[in-house]
Amino acid sequence: MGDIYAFVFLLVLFLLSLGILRGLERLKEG
Amino acid sequence: MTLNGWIQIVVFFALLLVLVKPLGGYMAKVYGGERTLLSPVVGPLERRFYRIASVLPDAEMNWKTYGLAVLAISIVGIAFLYALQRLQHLLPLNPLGFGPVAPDLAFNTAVSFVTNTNWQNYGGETTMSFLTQMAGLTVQNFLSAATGMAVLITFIRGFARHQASTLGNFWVDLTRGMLYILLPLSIVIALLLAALGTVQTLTSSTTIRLLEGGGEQVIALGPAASQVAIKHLGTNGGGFFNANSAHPFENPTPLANLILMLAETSIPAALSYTYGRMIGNTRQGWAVLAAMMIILVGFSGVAYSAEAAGNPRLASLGVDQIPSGLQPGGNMEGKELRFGVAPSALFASITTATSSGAVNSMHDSFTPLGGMVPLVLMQLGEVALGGVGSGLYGMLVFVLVAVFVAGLMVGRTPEYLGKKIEPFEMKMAALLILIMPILVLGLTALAVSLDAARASISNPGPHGFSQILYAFTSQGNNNGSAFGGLGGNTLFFNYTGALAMFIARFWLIFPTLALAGSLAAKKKVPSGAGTLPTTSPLFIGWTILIILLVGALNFLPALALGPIIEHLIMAGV
Repeated sequence: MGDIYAFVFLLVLFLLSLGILRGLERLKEG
Repeated sequence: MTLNGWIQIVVFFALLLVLVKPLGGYMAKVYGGERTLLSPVVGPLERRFYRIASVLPDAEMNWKTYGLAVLAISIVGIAFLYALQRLQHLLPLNPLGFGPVAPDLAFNTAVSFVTNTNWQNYGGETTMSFLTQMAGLTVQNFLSAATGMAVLITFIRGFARHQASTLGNFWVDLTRGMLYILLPLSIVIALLLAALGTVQTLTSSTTIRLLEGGGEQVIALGPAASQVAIKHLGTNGGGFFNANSAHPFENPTPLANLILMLAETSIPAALSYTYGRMIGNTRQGWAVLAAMMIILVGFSGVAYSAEAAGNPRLASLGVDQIPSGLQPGGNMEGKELRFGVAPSALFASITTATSSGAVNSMHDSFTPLGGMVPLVLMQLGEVALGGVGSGLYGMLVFVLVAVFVAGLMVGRTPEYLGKKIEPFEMKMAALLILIMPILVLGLTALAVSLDAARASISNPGPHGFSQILYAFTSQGNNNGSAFGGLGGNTLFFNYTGALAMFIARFWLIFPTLALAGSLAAKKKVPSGAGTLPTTSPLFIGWTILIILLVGALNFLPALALGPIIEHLIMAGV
């Protein structure tokens, strides 16, 4: 169960990071 | 304080400054793709790597692709390191038969080493197999350091390039940093350390007979020297042994201690010269280094002064804390006798000014003001040298803020190195400065409000608050040093710590790269009468003031609840 928690946590962090990259790109494009 | 103590501090800084120009010049050649002394040996190896990995070294990336590459290798690194820890009982090189690391601890450790933090909620010699230490933790020490340096080089290219849409190739920058800089220097340092007594063996332990009582003691051994070398050189800080650099098998002599301190400061300091070389103006690099060194020397002096003064409560009881031929004097609790007060205070300062986080003494046992120095140096954003790469790009963000604020105050055009500082750059700078304090203070507030988290504190009152504040400050700045005293191996601290380390690393790297991309795309404006000089002593002082002001505004209230009130209680005010 602990492995699943860790996997989900890492997946969420990864997806949020992709979202932040996309957000910064949109901010840069104005 | 003693003359001997000051001499040791002065000798360290003098040696560090001697290393800046040769090492910085060499790194500029490496990242500029120029031929170096190592090219005949390393060049063929480098080209073979590119062929195997299908990397086109001339194919450049824009800031977003560069960021995706950083994220991709890091996520894979976290997953690999996690799996290695969870499966270590099934894998070779586990002579003591350690079981799998618990999931939350394995996750915290994986994020910790991939983010160059090296926060350790475990004891290395009682938890990790040799394979995990060598193929997992040590590999990430190299990768995370080379990643930080690559991001810095990209940021520098943002200043150096004009009307450009690309910033370099991450895989090339990563490979060159590893092969030409970190690996050769680590081999030299590992050999020096092994010669001085740091252990390097695949024998798991040795048993000795005790001098008193006739019993036996098992002493852990292992391949420490090879990990310790990169642990310092890459400002990683994760010890092979639980006691880190206080352990005689990691840091056996005062000379080894000096080498370790130089190892963890030389690359961050020299990168400022690299910066000057790459933008074609070395005075800019020296100016940035001057600002860093003034902060670091100043705070090192405060730490030494506080620790050398000792504890007034003990003095009032008649305890002798005066240096003499029989004792080093001052506050020696938690410090190694073979180092004494000055090298311990200096080590504590530089390990938190850089993002190393290795410790040769227990910061929890410092006087309140002495212990506040490492805390403050991290809370300033680790810009006084800082981590390999991350320190300088953090510092350059403060330089941009200093230029912008000064420009507003005196009515000059906010521009730096011919690049106009506009709203997007300031938005990125604001993000880079504000994310860390929000993260650190938010998680500290959450922890002190939860019974389960407060249960991990070993000292009640202000000192306990300092323990939690230090833990999140350390992880939220990718430092990794521990104050000590906090039982951090819990579900709460393992996951919140991992969150802090991940955000502090990647969510600061992305705005840094976006800033670099924006700067690289700009035209170069010729300097004129309206250009603010950025190498003058006045500007260096102004930048330092901005850093201290931002740090104080963010953290003074929290410091007042911890070390400041503890100092007042100790002083009997």
